[in-house]
Amino acid sequence: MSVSTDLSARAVDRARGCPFAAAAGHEETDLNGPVARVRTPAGIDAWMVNRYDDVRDVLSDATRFSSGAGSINHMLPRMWPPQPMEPGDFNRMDGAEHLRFRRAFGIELGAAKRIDGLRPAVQRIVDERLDAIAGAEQPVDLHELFSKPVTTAVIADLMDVPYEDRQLFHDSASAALDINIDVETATAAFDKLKAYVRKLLVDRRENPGDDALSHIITRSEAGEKPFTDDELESIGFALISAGFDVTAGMLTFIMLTLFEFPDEMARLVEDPSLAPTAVDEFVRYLPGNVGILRQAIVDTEIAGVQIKAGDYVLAGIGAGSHDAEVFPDPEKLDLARTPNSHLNFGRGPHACVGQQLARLELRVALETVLRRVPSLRCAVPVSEVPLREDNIVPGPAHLPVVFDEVLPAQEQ
Amino acid sequence: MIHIETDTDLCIASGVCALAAPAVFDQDEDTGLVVLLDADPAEEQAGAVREAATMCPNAVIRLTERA
Ligand code: HEM
Ligand code: SF4
Repeated sequence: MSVSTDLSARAVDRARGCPFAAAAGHEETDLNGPVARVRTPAGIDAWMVNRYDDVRDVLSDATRFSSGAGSINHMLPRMWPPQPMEPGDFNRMDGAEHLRFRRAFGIELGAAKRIDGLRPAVQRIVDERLDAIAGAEQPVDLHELFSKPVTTAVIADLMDVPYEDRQLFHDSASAALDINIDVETATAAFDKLKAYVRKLLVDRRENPGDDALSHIITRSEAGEKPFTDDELESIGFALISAGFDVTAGMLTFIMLTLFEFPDEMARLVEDPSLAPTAVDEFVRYLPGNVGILRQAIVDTEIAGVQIKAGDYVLAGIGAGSHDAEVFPDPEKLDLARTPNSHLNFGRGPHACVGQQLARLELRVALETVLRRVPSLRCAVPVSEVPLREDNIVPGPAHLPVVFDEVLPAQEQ
Repeated sequence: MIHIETDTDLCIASGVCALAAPAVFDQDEDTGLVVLLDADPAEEQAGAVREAATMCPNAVIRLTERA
């Protein structure tokens, strides 16, 4: 199956060629070669690494490649040069310091049993959102009225915070990934969420509950080196705002892609047991974060190219996830693809904290939509669906859909 | 036959292994760190175990092939 329809071509172009240009003095560089010298939107020059093995090596070896500059700051002119690190900003830490934080998340979001335990809640949330759109005026914007509410409600449930506070989470999450927003507006959104998390911490210390934050606080206090309030604030902030927006974007992008490939949609409707492999294939296939920023801390070499200590390196997780050496027919969307050890949740110590949760949400949402809304279709030609221009992560800005009816939820 | 070793010092409790090969990898109830259930799993587990080792984000799982 060809993927060079208008929509894929637009999205993939944006993810691959753009947003980087060749760096000055490297005009001849092949942007898709193993290692390309590029200039990023924030105006720094970096080595873009595109092959699977090299991307994995860069992300896996923090003794050569540090996270200190922040993994997305090269995309944001307002974030460059990076500010001094705030306490608890674990995404910018390396080694043992970083591990101390990661282990606090592990049991909450990574334990297979914990994730299984969340399944009924995710199912309930998805069903509620479908009930809500059943009566809404059509066309319905699936992104605003389904994807965002679902992923927001799941994180609110995990943290046991009211869904009604969601605007605060949305503002902060979009500010974090918005390319064009000014510093003042972004800072204001972050500060509001931080103040919110502060209050939450006080409350959860006094009245510990059965939520992720309470568990983290309780476990931390029983441990050798308890987290400070500043550190806990960063943890809560990350949990609330790091993932739901990306996951919502992915869910909407998946639905759009199914409209674009009706044969794949039919295959999934016929055999819902494909959902787990389908989710990973969508995450592999669809353009996401183009490159993750690292900085070399020693002189080293990647694919024969000399890298000096201090040089910036971009781990091309999207390109690596389309490396033909590892993924047969990489430009084909194959919902049954196995094995599928793509790189789009990252690799190494910083690999996505929320990947199991994201897999669960995407899977339940996909299964349920296809089961309960079999008549779902795009309200406009797919090539006319507006794509986000202002966000680091590409995807549809809106997804207008129409349908005949929403079937009743299955009894749980 | 494959033989498995895990380096728990590197484990970030991602749960990827327990999802890929639940018969072979579990996670500690309190910490989420990997617990190796079977260091010498039966042949029919080999595919799932290789998948777990490749997908483990932090190279915790080391495999050696034995004749
Ligand atoms: C489809 C959805 C998602 C994708 C594609 C995704 C992708 C990624 C990637 C590529 C990284 C690596 C960054 C780096 O190496 O510095 C990452 C890290 C992270 N993700 Fe996700 N993510 C998703 C969903 C989520 C969710 C649902 C959550 C939270 C509940 C989350 C929380 C985090 C956190 C906290 C980190 C930082 C980890 C660290 O620095 O150690 N993500 N994600
Ligand atoms: S996949 Fe690796 S890091 Fe994750 S729990 Fe298993 S051993 Fe630990």
